[in-house]
Amino acid sequence: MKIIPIILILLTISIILPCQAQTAAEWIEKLDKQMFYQSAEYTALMTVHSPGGTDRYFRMQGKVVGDQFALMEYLDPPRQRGTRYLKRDDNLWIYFPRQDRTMQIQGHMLRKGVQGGDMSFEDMTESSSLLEKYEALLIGETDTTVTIMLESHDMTVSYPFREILIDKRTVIPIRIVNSGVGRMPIKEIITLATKRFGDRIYPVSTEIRSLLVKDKWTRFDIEEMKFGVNFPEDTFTKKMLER
Amino acid sequence: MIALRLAYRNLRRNRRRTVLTASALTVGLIVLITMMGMLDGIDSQSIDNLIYYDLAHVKGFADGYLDEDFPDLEHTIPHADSLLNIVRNLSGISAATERLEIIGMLIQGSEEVFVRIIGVDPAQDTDVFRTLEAVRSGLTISTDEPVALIGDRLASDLSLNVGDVITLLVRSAPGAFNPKMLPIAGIISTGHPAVDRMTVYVPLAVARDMTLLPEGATEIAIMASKLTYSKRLMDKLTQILPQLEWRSWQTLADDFIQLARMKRTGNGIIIGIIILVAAIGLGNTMIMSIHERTREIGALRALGFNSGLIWRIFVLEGFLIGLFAGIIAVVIGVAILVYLGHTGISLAGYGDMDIGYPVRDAIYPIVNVASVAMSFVFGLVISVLASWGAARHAARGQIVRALREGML
Repeated sequence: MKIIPIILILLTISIILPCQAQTAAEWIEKLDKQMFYQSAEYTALMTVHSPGGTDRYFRMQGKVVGDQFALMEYLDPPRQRGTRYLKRDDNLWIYFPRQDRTMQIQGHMLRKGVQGGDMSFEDMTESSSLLEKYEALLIGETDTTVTIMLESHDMTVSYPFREILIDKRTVIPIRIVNSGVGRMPIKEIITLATKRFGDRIYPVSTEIRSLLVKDKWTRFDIEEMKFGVNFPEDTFTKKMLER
Repeated sequence: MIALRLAYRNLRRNRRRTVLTASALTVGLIVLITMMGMLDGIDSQSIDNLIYYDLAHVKGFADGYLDEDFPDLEHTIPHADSLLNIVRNLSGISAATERLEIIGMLIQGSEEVFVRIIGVDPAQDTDVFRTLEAVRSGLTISTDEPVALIGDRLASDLSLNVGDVITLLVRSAPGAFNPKMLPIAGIISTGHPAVDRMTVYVPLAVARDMTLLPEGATEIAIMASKLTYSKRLMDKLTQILPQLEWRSWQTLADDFIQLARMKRTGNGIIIGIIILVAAIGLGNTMIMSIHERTREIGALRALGFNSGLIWRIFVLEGFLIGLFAGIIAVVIGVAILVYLGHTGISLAGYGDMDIGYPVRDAIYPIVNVASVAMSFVFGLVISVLASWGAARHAARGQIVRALREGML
């Protein structure tokens, strides 16, 4: 009769111990791995909500290879249709079909919000792993979540402090709060919905909300997504951008 | 002398015609004097606003700073304090200060607007600029205490009052966001639209903290002992501190100067047309006068007046009309300018519209003696030129034909 509680205790320990053993850095590594993919193709709807209740909708199609290459094209609204963005490493170009003109986005332009929203061009081009620039500290843990504080001494990062609430089961960031030099919260990124794609779970609805400006947010809803797509070699070239 | 007497008598003989002819010219000259006074006034106000609220006489910038479209923290003066001490000891300098300008967002509730955030040294800034003295309500910046001064237009647009707390969101020089919440100490009203509509002033220490540039500045602003010294001073500064790019206010305000020149030319064309119409009227009157007095001209020639004297009589008639019109126009024009200079011409009807000049609320015309004298001489020249052709025609006529047929 005594053997049953012992087995139960051993089972519990075997489940709890690996979780407890995980450091903040390990959680971030897992998160990086979870969010990283070799290649993907998606169609998404971006909603830019401005204070006062105005919503603007942008439908887009994108192709991504790791954190190095990305090509995105607006499908809607008609005014934006055909506008394409090409990302190659840290460089970003925009092609405007109406003017048949390509512009490289650099310097302060990278810090502007895409379509006036809360996602900047810099956010689009940022590609390094979180642990390269931040030190991770585990600041809270529940049965289902873990809270990590990322702190950077490198003031070249946009947000020197980032607080990430991670779902332990899916290793998806439920909420990220980005703060400035003085730790004042500036922006939060909330995962509204996730979806299973084969053996991986991925966020398909994300909201970026300003914590300084009332009622200002940008929502990114992935409508279709395919992972592990093989793209032709010339997909991420200026030739394809200007096609 | 006889030509002048005869010309004067001729004008008195047809008083109504003389008055009507002179009136057209008078109106044209009044418009010219008033417009010149307005342009002189707006130029003077603009230059004052630019110098005392924005550009000073000369400014020094870090190499590369001016190549950017707007203030850029990649090109700042790292040890501005030490350079400022060198500048202050130079002759020909009345005062100098350092400023740190950042482009950021002012956030209040659901409103966010791009603003110029200018860090000022409260101890030195008032020696160069008048901004900190232009407080309309509340208090100015007098210490390093973290407070903000904002323009009245900006305050009105965002419904902000003294004591309200605003959030300024900027990128520090390395790149990290650095938001700051600051109470509004005072609201300024300078009359410079760019300052009143989109600028926030904070103590230099606060701006340095926001940009993470502990000794940095984006500019060293200098007031020369005399305005005319600025170019000469700039050459001296370039020689002594070549690590900075020195610019005079004229260079920094080049866009405004070009625009003012263009507007003056544009207005000159309109006024020129008005004067031309008046001149044609004057010329026509002179021709009519000659036709009416053909036999009289013939009689004068028969009495021994040579053609040169006849020519002089008619030219002098034109000159006297111009003189009469000019004197009246100067009196009325100067009176209008003095009145408008006192009351101002309200720009309230333009609202927030950019009229291209760094002025707002009202334009105050001035009486510029040179402009008035130029308008007066211009009136005289136009009158003489308008009567020139008619006088020449009168002088060349044949005596017999003039007496017998009444034709020259």
